[in-house]
Amino acid sequence: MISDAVVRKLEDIVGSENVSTSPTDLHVYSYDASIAHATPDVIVWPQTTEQVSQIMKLAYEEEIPVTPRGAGSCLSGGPLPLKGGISITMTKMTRILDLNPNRLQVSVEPGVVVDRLNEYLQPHGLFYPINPASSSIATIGGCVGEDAGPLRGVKYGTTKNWVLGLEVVLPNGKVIHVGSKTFKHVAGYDLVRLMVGSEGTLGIFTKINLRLAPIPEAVAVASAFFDSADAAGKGVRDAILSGVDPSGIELMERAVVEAASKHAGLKLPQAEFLILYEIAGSKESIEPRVRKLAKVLKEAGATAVDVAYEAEERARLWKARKAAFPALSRLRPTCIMEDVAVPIDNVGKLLEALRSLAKKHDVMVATFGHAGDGDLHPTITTDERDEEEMKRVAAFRADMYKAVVDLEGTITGEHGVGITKKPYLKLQFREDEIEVMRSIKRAIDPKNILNPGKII
Amino acid sequence: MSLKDYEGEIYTCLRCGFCQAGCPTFRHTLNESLNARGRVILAKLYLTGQYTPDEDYMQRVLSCTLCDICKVKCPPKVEVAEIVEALRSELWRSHRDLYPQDIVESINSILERQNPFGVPREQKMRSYEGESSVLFFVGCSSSVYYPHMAENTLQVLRALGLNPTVLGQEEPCCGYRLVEMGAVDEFKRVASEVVSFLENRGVELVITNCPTCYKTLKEYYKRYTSLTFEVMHITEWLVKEAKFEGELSEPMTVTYHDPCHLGRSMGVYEEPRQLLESIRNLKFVELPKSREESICCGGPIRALYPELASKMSDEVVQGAIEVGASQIVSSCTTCYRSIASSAAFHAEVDALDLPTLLARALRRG
Ligand SMILES: Cc1cc2nc3c(=O)[nH]c(=O)nc-3n(C[C@H](O)[C@H](O)[C@H](O)COP(=O)(O)OP(=O)(O)OC[C@H]3O[C@@H](n4cnc5c(N)ncnc54)[C@H](O)[C@@H]3O)c2cc1C
Ligand code: SF4
Ligand code: SF4
Repeated sequence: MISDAVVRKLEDIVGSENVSTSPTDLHVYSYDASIAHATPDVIVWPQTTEQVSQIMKLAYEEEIPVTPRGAGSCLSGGPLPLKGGISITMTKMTRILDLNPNRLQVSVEPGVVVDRLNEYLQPHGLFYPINPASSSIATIGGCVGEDAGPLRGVKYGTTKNWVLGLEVVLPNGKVIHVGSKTFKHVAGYDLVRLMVGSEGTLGIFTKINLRLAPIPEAVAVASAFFDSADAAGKGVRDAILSGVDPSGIELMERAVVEAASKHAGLKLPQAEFLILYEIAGSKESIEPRVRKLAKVLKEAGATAVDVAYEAEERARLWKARKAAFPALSRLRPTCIMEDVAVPIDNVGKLLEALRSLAKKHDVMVATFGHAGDGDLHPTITTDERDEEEMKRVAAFRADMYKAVVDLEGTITGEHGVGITKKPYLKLQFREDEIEVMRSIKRAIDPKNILNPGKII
Repeated sequence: MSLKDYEGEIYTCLRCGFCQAGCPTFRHTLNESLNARGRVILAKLYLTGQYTPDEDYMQRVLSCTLCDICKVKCPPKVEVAEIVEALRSELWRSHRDLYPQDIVESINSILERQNPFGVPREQKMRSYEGESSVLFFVGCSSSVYYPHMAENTLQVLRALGLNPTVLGQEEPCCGYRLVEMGAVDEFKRVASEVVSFLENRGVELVITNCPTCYKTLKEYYKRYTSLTFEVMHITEWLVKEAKFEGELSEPMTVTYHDPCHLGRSMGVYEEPRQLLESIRNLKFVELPKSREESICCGGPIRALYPELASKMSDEVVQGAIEVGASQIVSSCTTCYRSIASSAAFHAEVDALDLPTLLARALRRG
């Protein structure tokens, strides 16, 4: 519990309208998009770096846990204050500070929502390519916190490839600047990479300098159908190896296509696996690349390949992909979206493993995801009120992570470890390795006040 | 339906938070308990008995305008507004003492005086004898505060060959505020009384100008009773049954604000636009957010939370200024009042109600 005196000090720092101890608000801020929950003692909405620094100084002195929060769309419990304390919510720091088109850079505050940034950049012919499926609400700060991945990860990678510099408030309240304004720099340890994906455990980002990309001139989307996991895996791998340079490769298995077509009112051909490929670039380059892609996919075993050049037709396909999760969520009361990744030549094997494990544990699992990054979202539909079924779900999850690690993969490609995957980190890393992570955490946050209880 | 009946809907909420991209009470407060996800969580807490019934809890629940844009942004299309209504009906039973006095008075006023404003029934506008089977249901807001809108509606209908009856002081209140605020038992009673009153008068067609009366008669009543008469919004009648044509003497740039109850709730988007487009010398421009994406004007919560409501209507007015409109037309008295109060601060733009504009265009004024 936090004393009234501390609450008053917080009010002095940010103004009483930016502090809440209302039980109603505290209940709501106990949740994100995961199945976990944990309640803060107080919520604070800072508006400046100076305020964040003062809050951290106070928390450091009083040894109060502080957990950063953006839009709260995290799927692993990252913004949930496991040890109570302060929920520091960054959604009121929403300024776009400095756009420099000649450098392909923009500097933003952490509460800027990804779609808002892209609306702002569009007239300049630029975009920030890392738009997760949650881009209509996800904050840049939250994306940096989770190292979020986009739908077009094959070409653009993840957040870490686009963050050039950060202003960070450390647990003791000191403000540091890491990174540089150049596209490359090797001066000292790469603290930007350390911070990106740190899930709010090492520092609070108050300014973020991002790299931007020019909007491609033309886009086409090819859809390919496969009858087996093995062929679908080849369809992913060979498309990347072929050099046609797809920007995104998204996969949906039969159950997902069925649910999504129904939900979005679309007619899509049914196949065991449907894969969408986006090809973007100069106008002249598109057609020859698409033709080559179609040939490669047929050789990989695709039963059919269709191409959409028109914006409307492309939108229809992306609509189906975007309907995947919501459609599945309507099937049963509880829906758990998992997130695992393997090297791109193991995607077929992962798809096979998921199917046989679902059968073994008798759970409903439907898989879709960013196959081109090897990152899939096996989605479990269940009922959290059914204890016996939840036990089977837990057993499936444990086996799935083991299978993923056996396939040289990772227990999370983009949603983070947070609370929900913490027990499984040791499947992927040995104790010595986790101990290095712990010692970094200790060095930066000796009192363990920043988002305690997460990851390690 | 009780809140328990919505348990499945509550569990369908993924807590993804996508509703933040629409919910106006969240956008203007940035407090997640004033967002749809927050309100669904508050409903769940009520079901499990974990909530703290206090002023904040009530404010978070009562400030929802039921505008339904959360559903547009919601991947699984959770019926948040219906969940909020059901939650309010529980609160009305279990925590009536926590309701702001304003609401209690408004509810009593409907039951005692057939209007939600606490004014004597005699303040409603005058009646007009017309065809007995066709009723122009004016609605309390227009009848008490904006009778000219009703007069203009009548003028337009008559000019196009329809001479409906107007009940004046005899017109009952549709009772929307009851179902809006959770007084469901009271609403059921009112609904069946109004329906049998209209049936006994031999009404076959009810025409409304007020989108709230329209939705209440056409949709809410159907939850509890069956209707023997047809309900049409004036814009539907004008487009379907008449051929409206008009002209303005001076050029005018007009935008149209979709009232939540007419647009998102009832799907009437095209008719008002068709009417506007049929007026010569009128240049029609769309607001930056229109149709499904239309922004709630804050009208439903203006009396309770004026500061928040003003931010919402300011946003509508800013949009109109952005697209260069000199008039923001709406076919709703609640929207009109809300938008006019924000437009008053801007010389370049005004609020205008659709019937008044149509009547003027008929006169070629
Ligand atoms: C339906 C759905 C689809 C999704 N799709 C994708 C997808 O395609 N790709 C993907 O990668 N993710 C996806 N996500 C997960 C999630 O939306 C992303 O991780 C997103 O980047 C989180 O942003 P947020 O603003 O909601 O952050 P939050 O959830 O509030 O926080 C995320 C983490 O970042 C930390 N944090 C937040 N702000 C700061 C800050 N300023 N400084 C330091 N730490 C901070 C928090 O402590 C927390 O650990 C999806 C989620 C949902 C519900
Ligand atoms: S109905 Fe409107 S105000 Fe209510 S939660 Fe939904 S979007 Fe918000
Ligand atoms: S968008 Fe829908 S499912 Fe997502 S949190 Fe809001 S109400 Fe729940």
